[in-house]
Amino acid sequence: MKNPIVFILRYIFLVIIFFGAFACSLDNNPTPTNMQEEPIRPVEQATGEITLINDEFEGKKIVIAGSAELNFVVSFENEVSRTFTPVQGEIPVIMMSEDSSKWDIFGKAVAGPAQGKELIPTHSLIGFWMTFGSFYPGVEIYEGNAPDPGASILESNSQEWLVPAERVFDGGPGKDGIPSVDNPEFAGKDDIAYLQPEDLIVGIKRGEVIKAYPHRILDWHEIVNDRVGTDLSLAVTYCPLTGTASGWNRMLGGEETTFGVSGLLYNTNLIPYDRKSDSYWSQMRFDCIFGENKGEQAELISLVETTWQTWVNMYPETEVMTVNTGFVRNYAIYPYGDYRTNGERLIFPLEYDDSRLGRKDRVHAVIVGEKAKVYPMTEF
Amino acid sequence: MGTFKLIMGRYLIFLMLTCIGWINVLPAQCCSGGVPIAGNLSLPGSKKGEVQLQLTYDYNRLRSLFNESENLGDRTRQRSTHSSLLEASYGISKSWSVVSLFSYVSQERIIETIIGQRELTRTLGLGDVVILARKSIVDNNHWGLSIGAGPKVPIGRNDLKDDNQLELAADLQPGSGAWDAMFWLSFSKYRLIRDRLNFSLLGTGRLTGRAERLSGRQSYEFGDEFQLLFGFSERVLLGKVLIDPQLMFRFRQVGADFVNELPLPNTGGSFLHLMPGFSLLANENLSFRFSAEFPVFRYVQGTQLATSQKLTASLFFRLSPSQRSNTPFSLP
Repeated sequence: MKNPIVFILRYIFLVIIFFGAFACSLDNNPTPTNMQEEPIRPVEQATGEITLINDEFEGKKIVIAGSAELNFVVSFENEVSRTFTPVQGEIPVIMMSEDSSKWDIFGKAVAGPAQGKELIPTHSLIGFWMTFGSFYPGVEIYEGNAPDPGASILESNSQEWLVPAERVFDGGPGKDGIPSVDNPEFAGKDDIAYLQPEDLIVGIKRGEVIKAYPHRILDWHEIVNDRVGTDLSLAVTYCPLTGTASGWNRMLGGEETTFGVSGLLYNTNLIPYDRKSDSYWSQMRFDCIFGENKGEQAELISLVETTWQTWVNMYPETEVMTVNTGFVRNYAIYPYGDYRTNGERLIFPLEYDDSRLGRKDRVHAVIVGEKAKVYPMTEF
Repeated sequence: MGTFKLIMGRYLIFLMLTCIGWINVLPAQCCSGGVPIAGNLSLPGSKKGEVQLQLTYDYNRLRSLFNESENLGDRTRQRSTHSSLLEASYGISKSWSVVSLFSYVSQERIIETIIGQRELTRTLGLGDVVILARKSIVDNNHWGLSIGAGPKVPIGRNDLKDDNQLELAADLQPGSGAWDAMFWLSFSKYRLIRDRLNFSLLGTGRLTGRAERLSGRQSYEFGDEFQLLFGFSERVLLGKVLIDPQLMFRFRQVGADFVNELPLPNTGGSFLHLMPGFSLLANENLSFRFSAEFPVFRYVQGTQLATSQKLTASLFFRLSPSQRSNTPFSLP
């Protein structure tokens, strides 16, 4: 060896090149959306055409109202076969019956001879198309002519689970690893500075109480245990992986409970657990699938999902959840990268991957018993 | 010498059993984040016919919830990994040696729920095995340079289930289920400035393979990993005890995990730890090392738990056929 220093330096150089290239080649996450905290834009007048669909499903007459621009779809049972027509430019009024009664987005007649009457909301969910085929075999698509390729849903072979236990997966964070918000704080719209007009919220109107639960918070906590007015114990459950929100009454068997995030997933969908009995529930089946309350149905509370802009236009007096959740999270960031728009991205397996629509296409699903019919947002 | 070896052999067996026992009886209060295989390939290359053994206990606790480089101050979740690692090296020629690393791992996940309960999930089992072929390029009184490569063989289970028979998350499993390619490099500069001051650099790279999980319904690939361990040590005599105090840094960069061939959000990151430690040397063939790690810089992709503390304790034992090592210092 003529000059050991040169020899060694040569090796070090090679090593630095090798490992430097190695380190630089490591794949990292796609940049989370909303990573750049944009300045909050003001809410402007919401405009959009409302479309009505009068339909029948499983022997029930239903009316579905929605608007892609205003970003909402709601559906109600039409027991007395009213004939509805859409009302434009008067949200929260969305439709009128033949007796000139006007009905709002929660299905309540707010003017006309039927004033004060309320339509029965269907059991419904808005979410990504991909999971409905797994939960509701043979799911119909409104005006869809593509044949159902045929679902093969497994039956549970477990004494303890109502769903196949081998299809229930640990999502990673663990039980309560995604913490529910149990003491939500609210403020008026003028005191909220973290929502963009197009951000989705889940809203409730009960009497004079109007509240909004933003996806930006639900994405991180999945469940909010709240009280609405003096008589409703509400759990807003939201699954970021299926995009579905559902309101549940927290009174079970006459006792109030809170729901938590079990950390488990069935068909990539949230499994909440009730803390009173430690029973596990399926968000998209609306029933208890494991534990003391197995087989019981959740009592659904009607919620409306729409954009912050549409909601504020409808209910400027709304209260909205603040970011004072009791936890420190960066609510400016959507935590799942491009998950909600990338149809290829599926983190946990589905029992049945129905390709008639794109996986992440948003649909409104009306559910009757074990059957479902979906109305793609593009229909409105 | 025969008696000495016998005694040391007993010490090794005792320590090994103690480590495994320790893992088994640890109170049910923690959880975990990855088997520390790449960071513990630390034996120097063996001379021809020489056997080196190192038994390591490694404790890694992740308790700091980070959003990128911001500590969110959330203390509700913990992950921890307790690992017993046995690294063995055998010199097959003057410059070539073979190294293997076996692990026995306990992974724990603990959550302090908002209603004051403690939720523990824990797995226990044999981890994956690494086998490396190493080549010593330079080995004299001034310099040392060795490189190595080999596979990580997936003998550890990656389908352990909880009490309800539900398959647990990939990072709670003792094994990854995938074959990985490992690359290793060790560089030492001895007698730096002073006779007993040494500089060491240890680099490891891990190119991960893909594993099938959830009964073949999900493909999972842990993020590729790159580590550099570098720093200084000096040999001092305290009374009649030889001690090598060390001040090292560990830089670790991990890529995102991949699920079904797409990167998984909230995985991957870069970390720099300060790693003070010391070695107690009974003689050239027997030493004990202890080190602690303190995070200096942590950057995670998205929001993740990051290491809060890490402790490592090792017993090193060398069985040499005749000659003694001519290196005054060996990493670590």
